[in-house]
Amino acid sequence: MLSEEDLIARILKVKNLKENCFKYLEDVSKELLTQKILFAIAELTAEKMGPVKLSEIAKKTTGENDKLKQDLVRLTIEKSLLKCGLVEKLKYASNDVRYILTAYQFQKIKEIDSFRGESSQPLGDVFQLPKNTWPISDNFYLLLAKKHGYEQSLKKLHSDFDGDVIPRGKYETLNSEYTKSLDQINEKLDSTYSGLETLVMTE
Amino acid sequence: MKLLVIFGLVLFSFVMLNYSGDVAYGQISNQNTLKVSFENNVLPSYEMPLVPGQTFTLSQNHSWVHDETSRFNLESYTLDGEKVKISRTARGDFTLPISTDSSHNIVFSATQQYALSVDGTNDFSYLPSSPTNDNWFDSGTDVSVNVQKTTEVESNKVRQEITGWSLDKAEFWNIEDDGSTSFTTPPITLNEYHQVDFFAAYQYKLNVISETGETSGSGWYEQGVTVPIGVDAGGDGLVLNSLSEWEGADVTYDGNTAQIFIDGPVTVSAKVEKNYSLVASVIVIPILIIGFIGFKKFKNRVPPVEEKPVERIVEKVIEKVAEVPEKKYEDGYDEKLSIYLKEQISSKLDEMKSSEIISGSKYSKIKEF
Repeated sequence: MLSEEDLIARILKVKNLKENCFKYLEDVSKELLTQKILFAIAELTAEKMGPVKLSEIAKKTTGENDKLKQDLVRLTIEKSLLKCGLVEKLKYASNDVRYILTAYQFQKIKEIDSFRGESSQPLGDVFQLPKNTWPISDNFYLLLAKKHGYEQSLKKLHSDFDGDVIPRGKYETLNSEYTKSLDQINEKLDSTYSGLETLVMTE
Repeated sequence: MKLLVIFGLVLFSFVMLNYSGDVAYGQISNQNTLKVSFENNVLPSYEMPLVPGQTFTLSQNHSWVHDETSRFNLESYTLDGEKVKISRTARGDFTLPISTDSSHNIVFSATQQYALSVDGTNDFSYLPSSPTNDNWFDSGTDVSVNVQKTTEVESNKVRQEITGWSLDKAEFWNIEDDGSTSFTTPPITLNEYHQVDFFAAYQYKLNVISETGETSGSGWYEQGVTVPIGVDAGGDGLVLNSLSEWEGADVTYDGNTAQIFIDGPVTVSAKVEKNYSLVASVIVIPILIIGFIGFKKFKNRVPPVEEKPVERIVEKVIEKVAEVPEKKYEDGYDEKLSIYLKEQISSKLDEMKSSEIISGSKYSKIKEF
């Protein structure tokens, strides 16, 4: 439905939200249907790696997906989440409408009107939705794990060679082979998933 | 003389006064009256004299305010026991000529009405329509509002689509896209004032065009949506058409899929170019192969060149190098390192799972891999 590139752009983006919209992310809204819908869309999108249908959101948030529940969820999305720009509505066909989050990181802002015009001032830290709800492909996590594996294996190889555990020939062969694999992984992470590694691995 | 003049004036005044007093007495004693009253005392009754020989016209407002949200509207009158219906209208005065040769009794009948206001669209009608041809309805009437779902703002470019409605700003409903051009609300009972609000969203026309082939994605879309578009360029026999780029708007195109963000009415055109690769593979390549085979046959006729002594020496050197036994490394080290690598990968995945970087379901899938 959406390209991996598009999904990554949404993860990397930090969206500014006015206080009246940022409240949907805060703990005070924990029991509100609006926040439940927001998190449900995030989780479902991560599973499906694409926008999700209203019936799926209704099922996850209310446990049912009959018309009444779907209407309730649709109304909530349209009255709050769409207006605030937290959710985007994608119309693939007249009977196929899907929803996806516009971003996964949000900055609360305060708008200031002055004679110089409108400006905004950030309030507090950037809020991130839980990382395990980010729509990142399995391949990315596997690359991260492999990168770690090859880095550790190369360290061991150097150490074993220094300790005369293996002869130079074996060392040279394995070092070349493992270094080449590590370079390929790094190249892939830097090109396809540029910026994502730092964001994901930073506390 | 003065006394005579004064006496004369007094006498004249007396005579004149006496004359006018007779007229008044005569009128009062023969006066006809008109009694006007209202059913259910919706207005106070009153009585007025009718002067014989003069024409008299009774006038009464068609509608008058009852309270902040309702009004009364004339329905009929009963003149001396005979009931007559009134052609109903909201504004103006109802007039009735009354004969003055006798007294009369008229009773007006009026009905209470409530207003039903509609906001958010001008393209609507009431079902049934108002008896007073406005937005006021008799108390207790069930009324629906029929609205046209789409209103064109700018021909074939911008339109308004009704997406929902509310009653008295308290209850909200969405209007399903069922393919119909109009929507009718459920009946609303007019026993008090009601307000119906319709919610509309602007829609913009997306035209996807191409000189060749069939396009997809054209239609009406709301602002802010991302729409996938495409073109099936087709071909002319062996010459294939392929999409080279999109023109006319900012289209996100990665070589396979194309999307456009709707921010207004837009027309995008697919730029299609001819692809002769199939022609090349079907016509040109066989010609080249035939030419190559012909060349090979020709080449085979050339007598072989004798090997030079230097080439023989190089071959011998290579053979000697190949005969040198390969150096033996420590047995099993490759495998040990490979196992260590797998362990490290697995431990990193576990760490990402425990620190909630990766979801449980994804972790399970990757672990299987």
